[in-house]
Amino acid sequence: MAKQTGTADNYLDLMTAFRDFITGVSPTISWITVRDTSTSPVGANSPNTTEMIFQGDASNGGSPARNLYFGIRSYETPASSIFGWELRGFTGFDPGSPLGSITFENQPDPSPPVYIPLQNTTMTYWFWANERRVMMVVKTGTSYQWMHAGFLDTFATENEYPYPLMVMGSTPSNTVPFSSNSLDFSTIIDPIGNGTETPISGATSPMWLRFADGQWYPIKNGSGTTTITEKRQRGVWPLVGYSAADWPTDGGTAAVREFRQRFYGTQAGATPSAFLAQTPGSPDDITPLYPLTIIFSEPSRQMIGEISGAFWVSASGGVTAEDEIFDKGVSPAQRYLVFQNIHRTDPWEFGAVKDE
Amino acid sequence: MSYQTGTATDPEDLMTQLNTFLTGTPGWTANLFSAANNRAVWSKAGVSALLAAQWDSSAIGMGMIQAFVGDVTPTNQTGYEFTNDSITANRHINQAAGPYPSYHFFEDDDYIHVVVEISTGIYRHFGFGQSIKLGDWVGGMYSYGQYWDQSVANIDNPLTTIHNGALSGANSTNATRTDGVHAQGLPDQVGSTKYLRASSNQSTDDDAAVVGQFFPAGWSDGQNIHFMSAQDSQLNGFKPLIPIPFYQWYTPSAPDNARLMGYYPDVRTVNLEGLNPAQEITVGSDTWVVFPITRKGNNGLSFDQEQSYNFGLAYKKVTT
Repeated sequence: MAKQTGTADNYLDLMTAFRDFITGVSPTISWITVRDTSTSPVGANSPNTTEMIFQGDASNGGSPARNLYFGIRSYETPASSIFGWELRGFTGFDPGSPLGSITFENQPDPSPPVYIPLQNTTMTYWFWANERRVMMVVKTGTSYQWMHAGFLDTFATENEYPYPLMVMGSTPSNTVPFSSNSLDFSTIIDPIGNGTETPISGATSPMWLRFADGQWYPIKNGSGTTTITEKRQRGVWPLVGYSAADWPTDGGTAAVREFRQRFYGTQAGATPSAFLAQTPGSPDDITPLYPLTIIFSEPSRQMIGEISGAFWVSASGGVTAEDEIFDKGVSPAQRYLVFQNIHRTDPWEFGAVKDE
Repeated sequence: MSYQTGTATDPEDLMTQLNTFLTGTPGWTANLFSAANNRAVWSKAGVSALLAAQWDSSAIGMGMIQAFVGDVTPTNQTGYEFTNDSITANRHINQAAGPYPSYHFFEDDDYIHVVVEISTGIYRHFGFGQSIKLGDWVGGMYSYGQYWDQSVANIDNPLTTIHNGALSGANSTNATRTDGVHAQGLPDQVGSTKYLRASSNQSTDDDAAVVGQFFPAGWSDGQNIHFMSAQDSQLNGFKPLIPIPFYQWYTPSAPDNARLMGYYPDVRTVNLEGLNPAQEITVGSDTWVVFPITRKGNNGLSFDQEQSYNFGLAYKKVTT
């Protein structure tokens, strides 16, 4: 488990900082770079489509104890102030023969792409890595971009669910600038994509999970651009919507105090039905953290797993981005860092990362 | 650290057996147990208030008090949470004349959870004890019962808010039959408030102090509702047993103010699809016993009898 924070000169410099971090952390975290075109371009890569593919070894991190793979590739459209990373998950790595002939998107069983909009100027970053996954938050202007690549903490054994790889960026589109305030520019605690469910391959989402059947599934709580329609087939609890149609309890009617009904506003500046305030405590008030949990209502209603070290947190009571929350119920106290969901600052739009 | 199951003939027999159980290994004090007057008061160090119970031929009532006075009615004890001594107007289990085919006492540390099979296949839940508190507010004792409305329009619909109790829900307009917690010193509490209850309305206690509102996020509503719908995992058949939190929920403000207050110990929500009443589930070294809220029933089966679909509670069976 490791963490690094610092600044990068631009989105390409951030790639090398990210690479150097995850491949240079403690010996028990065995991430290696299996392709890196930043110093040795291969194939048709140009300097602005730098590729890096990483291999992790989760054997020290519990189940599943196997290698995992993901890659990042830079992109840019300078005229539109668009710079960023594309992220995909893979089930292996094929260097190709001749070397580099297997392209980024043709690596074994690639996930659909997700994107992390960045800047071509100085940015502050936070990296976390353990044996099973890496996470990144980058401050771009007043927004915070998110990235996750690695295994979900599943409610299943390795034999039951061998490769629970999840990749998450901030957006499913590479035409979104970091400064966008679009409603559908939303991830981690409340991922938003399009409404396509059939075929799955036609969907978009900033979050994709490779399920036990070997198929990549979009994880999203909503869809739309000008208005957000709740999607409940495969979402992130606690903000995933509830309806008796998608989540029947053998005929149950709608609940009225589930989190999205009560603590969520449909647009920036909205007033939700309730604020989840801090609980008075000593010496510090208590800010509850809720583990981000992937749940499916299709093909059957079930809990899939938790996003390792990631939580929903209410920002009522003055909590804001980059704040620290301490769990003093453990020794030594465990620190969590709070960040907002990209451009959103409403109380229901915050996540926290366990500071490892 | 004990568990007991058996049968009982009626409310008095059940409460007599409960008193014997509580004052044995669990170590509760019976400040009062009067079979003649059908009332009891139990207390235990570490539990922030005392439990005053009453019963008649078909119902068992329970409420919290602040101090024991003597063999008097609950409103003559100190700091009773209700304004009158009625059993059926306040927190209680109904339709409980007996005989009971079975009962189950689950106990550990500072709580007692009771499941009563009031007639074959139909259950009631009640209990009390010290919650797992978050924060430094004063109190922490909880008390719950279960009122199940018998009208034809409601008896087979578990989600109507006219039913009360069993560690869930806060939208009932009935402010006195619902679950309660002893709590003082929270924001939004009026100065002399000692109790919160799971209702959409505020009420008062025996001292004319405001009784505030809280929300047990159990089987019928709240953050667990997705999980209540969860079927067996298609990967391994696992079924989630989810802890039950409770929140202060202050509605006079706009918007409402909610605060996580804590959790109920050793009880979980569970979907009973594929499970039978009183079936045991082993999780690691722990054993859990599952029960329907009232009677396990099916989707839309409006048979004008008590049914609670697959909503259920799982209790930890601690025997060592």
